[in-house]
Amino acid sequence: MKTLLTCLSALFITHLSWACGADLYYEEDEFYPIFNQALSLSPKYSDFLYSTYDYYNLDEQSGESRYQGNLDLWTQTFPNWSVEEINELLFGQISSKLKRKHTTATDASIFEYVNFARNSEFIPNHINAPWKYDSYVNSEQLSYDDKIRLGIEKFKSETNSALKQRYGYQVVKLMRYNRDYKAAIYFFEQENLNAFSHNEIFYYTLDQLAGCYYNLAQYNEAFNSFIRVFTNSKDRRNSAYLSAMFCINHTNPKSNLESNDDILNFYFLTSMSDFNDPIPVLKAMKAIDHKDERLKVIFARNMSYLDRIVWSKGGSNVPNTDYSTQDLKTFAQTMTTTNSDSFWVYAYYYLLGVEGEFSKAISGLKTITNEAFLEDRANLIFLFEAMQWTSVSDIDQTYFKNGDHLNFRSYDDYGFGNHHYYNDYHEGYNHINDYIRDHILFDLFYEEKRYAEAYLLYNAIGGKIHEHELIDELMAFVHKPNKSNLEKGLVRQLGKNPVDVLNFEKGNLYLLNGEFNKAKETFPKSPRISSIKGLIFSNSVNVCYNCPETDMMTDSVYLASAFDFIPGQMNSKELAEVLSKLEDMSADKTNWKGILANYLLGNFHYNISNTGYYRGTLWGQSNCCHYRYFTTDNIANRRNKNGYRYQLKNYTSPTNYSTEYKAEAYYDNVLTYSNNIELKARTTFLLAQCNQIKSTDDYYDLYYDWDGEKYFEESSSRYQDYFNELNSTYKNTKFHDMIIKECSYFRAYVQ
Amino acid sequence: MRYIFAFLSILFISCTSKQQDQLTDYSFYHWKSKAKMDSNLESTLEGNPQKVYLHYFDVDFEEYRYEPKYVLTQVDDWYKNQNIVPVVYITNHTLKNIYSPEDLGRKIKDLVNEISTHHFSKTLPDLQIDCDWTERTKDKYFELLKLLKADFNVSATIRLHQLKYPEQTGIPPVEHGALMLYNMGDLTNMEQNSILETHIIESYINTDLSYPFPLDLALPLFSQTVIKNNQGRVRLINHIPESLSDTTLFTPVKDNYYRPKLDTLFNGFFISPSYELKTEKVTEEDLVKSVKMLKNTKLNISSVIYYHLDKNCIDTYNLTHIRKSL
Repeated sequence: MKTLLTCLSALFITHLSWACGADLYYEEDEFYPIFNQALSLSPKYSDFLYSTYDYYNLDEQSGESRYQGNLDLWTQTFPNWSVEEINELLFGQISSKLKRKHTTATDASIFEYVNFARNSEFIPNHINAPWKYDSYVNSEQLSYDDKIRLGIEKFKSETNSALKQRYGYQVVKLMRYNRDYKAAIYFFEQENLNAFSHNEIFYYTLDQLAGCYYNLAQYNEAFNSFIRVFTNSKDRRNSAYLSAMFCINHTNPKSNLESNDDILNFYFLTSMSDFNDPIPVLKAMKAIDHKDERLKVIFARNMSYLDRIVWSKGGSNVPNTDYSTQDLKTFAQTMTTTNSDSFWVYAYYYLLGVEGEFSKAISGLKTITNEAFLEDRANLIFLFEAMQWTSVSDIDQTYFKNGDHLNFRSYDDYGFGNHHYYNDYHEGYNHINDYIRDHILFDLFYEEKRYAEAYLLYNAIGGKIHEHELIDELMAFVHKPNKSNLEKGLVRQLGKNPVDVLNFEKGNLYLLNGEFNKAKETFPKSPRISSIKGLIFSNSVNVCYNCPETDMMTDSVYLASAFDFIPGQMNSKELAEVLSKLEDMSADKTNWKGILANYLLGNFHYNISNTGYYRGTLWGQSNCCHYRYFTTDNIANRRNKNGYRYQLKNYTSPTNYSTEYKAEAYYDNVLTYSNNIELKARTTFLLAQCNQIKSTDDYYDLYYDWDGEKYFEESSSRYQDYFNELNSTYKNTKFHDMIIKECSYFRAYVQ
Repeated sequence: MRYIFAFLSILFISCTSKQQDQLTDYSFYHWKSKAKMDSNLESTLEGNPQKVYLHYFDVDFEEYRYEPKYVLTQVDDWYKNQNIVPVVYITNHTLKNIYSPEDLGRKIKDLVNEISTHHFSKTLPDLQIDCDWTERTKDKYFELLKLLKADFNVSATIRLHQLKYPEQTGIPPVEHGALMLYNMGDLTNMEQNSILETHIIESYINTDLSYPFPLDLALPLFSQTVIKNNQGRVRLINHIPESLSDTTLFTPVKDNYYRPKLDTLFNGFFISPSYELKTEKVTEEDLVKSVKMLKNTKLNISSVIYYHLDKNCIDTYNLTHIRKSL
């Protein structure tokens, strides 16, 4: 039976447009990166700072960026060529226009070089269509031997130094591809390629040379070359990093490194993937050159590891490290005695604060006068002061004098709130403010049972609030006199007219609960939503969320003159008024109007249910595909279990209001009291739809919280009963003839 | 009586000691990706060869797929007036790695026809497949040949070991072949001429040797320099550079055997004093002797194909003299 239901549910779900996947993963969802790794580091090291994107960064560079260093060198060397022209020269079809424009002797040499380089490419043109002769006829084919000999000739005869260097690179590369590794090394040394400018093409050459050393099992030389490429090349950095790691698999090259720079590079490179105790490495690097910037990079990376533990948001992606704050702090302290760089002072007092020595940390931070640190210093002092607040009354309101000092969460594209788009690490977002808001201020207000403030601190406004009590508390907070700076900022979150915002939320809660008169009275005069169609009282026998509503909502009962009070389009308050009238009419079930009023109320509740065409409409949201339309986050269940205060952090807005149950009750009245066999046939089908939704909901309930097979079978069998009824009692209706053609699911069921 | 006469005639013919006719017909292999012809080479040839076996491409297996290598890209007009036989070399490694030859056969056919149409404005009827197949790959190879025979007059190259051990390596299902009389030795053996050694030929043949179909003899007209490094790996230079006689660079150890005096680049290759170099060239005498040895078997030898059509190769031989001697 379980299998059967799964199958049916799957069938049902396939009718839906399920276009949205899970949220993207942001590393900042897991921790607050409080220590700014980029402090006082030159930009060339910015890519080496720790991020969870390292995995991708260290993969082979792709796209245009992998040639950027080379492109830059071309444009620097030959300034009479534009970037576009260089791009055409290197990667495009060289036009006659380009040749006409560049006609000097040097230009001719450039064209000649590029022709040679293109023909020397390792990957031939015909790689994608090796069995099509057209791929070959226009491509120059020389053996590697011939190419090498030609390259050496050109290297020797070329008089332009930049092009000569490039020919040298081509020869070394070709020799490597030809697996004549010693020839490449010999050529490099004999022709003294090391004497050429140490520019990007030099490191391209060195990268090839390193590959030769590797293939000759001269791993130390290979490693040494790779780390030089790693630290100096723009384009070859990532591949050099990976290659160097392969070298380490064969040998420990450190013992053979000669210069201090090489040794520092060794530490630097190996530290990129080293999660062991960093202190010995830091000490070793310090002993070589305590001013070397690489030392700061490694230290900063370790501070980032530490942040993941100290400022964790409790996610599951926290690395398993055993770094000792004390060790890092001691190291930073020793650095402050030998090095005047503010970085170490900042780091030391940062760690002191992490250990809870707030006063000392703040005093120390105040001694930093380096302008580059002032903003971070101020934020850190703010954090350490805030960490000393123990009650709401301790909050230093001067920090909130602008009222908008905190970064509030924004409402997401789907209107469900709480998505952390606000938190973009890579644009220098102030994570310290986030931490203070989420963990210090929230906790202070929550502890003092000031739930409205706590809610506003942690949640985006604009989503659905599904508890009257919370809305009431928020309303009381809005009306609170003599608000502090922080409180004024919080109220501003609710917009210019916070009372209307809250009344709108409350009005919708009443609507969902069928309390139409209360809704009518509660909705503000100008509610947020004013485009609700009269079609919301129609119904559909198909499920298609992106189809035009006029195609879907084919039932025209709501257009009958008895219901001429239903406008073509209405706002929330007008909707409540219409519903109220229908509710009044529906009481008289002996009258056809009353029966049809039940029918229209059933349609409304079905349409706003999780699988109805107008789901989301009450909040002005799209009916499309958000995953929460498939959750069982049932408002009633949650309230019963937890109460509204339970989830003030990450307050999620349920979409499942189980309105299909209300629809079913109204439709049952139609079946009971109507004599119109066509109406009853259609209503029977709609009841089947309602129960199918319930089955789907139940399925999810059971998926997460198994409640017994009996319950499962009972709930899932109801729609089958309605289908059977439709196929027997109402077999001779026009509706039956229509639905068996239109609805393949019903047709399949009957057959 | 007629039957008895016929029988005796057959017996007489078959028992007569075999001395084949002079091999005046000759052809050339061309084995570069650009088929060029200049007036110097043309005058050296002294007339048109019977056929030109034009190397179209190799097939090798790399990166989990087989594909053409060293594809012919240029053909000068001179070739358009010749009797062209396309040649495709297939590595045995390819045969080992294919599951069935159908797709390979179709691709070879299509590419051969594309090349022929491109350069000769028509498809060509003949095709020679060059492959050093083995017992392990013979089934797939022979199947491939059968498939290609549906579209071409297919001939196949035969190597000495295939000639000597037909039971093991099988006999390809073709009507004509070319016996390769070169690249028979060990490149790394500095005492040996790997291109051709008459004693190696001798070890593979005897006077009773026969083969089910006629064979052309493929004879080497080329020289090469072998560089062997101190780990035994070799590289080839497809000629003998004059600089080998430079005693500041090389020490002649024996005839055709040299050692470098210093680290240097030699024709684009790195060489070092620990390396060895040997030059290999086939003498006219060895060529003639080899042919005579083969003529003294029961093989049906129809003509000679010289490897290969290149001025540097041909210039070092007196072709007229060789032809007359065969």
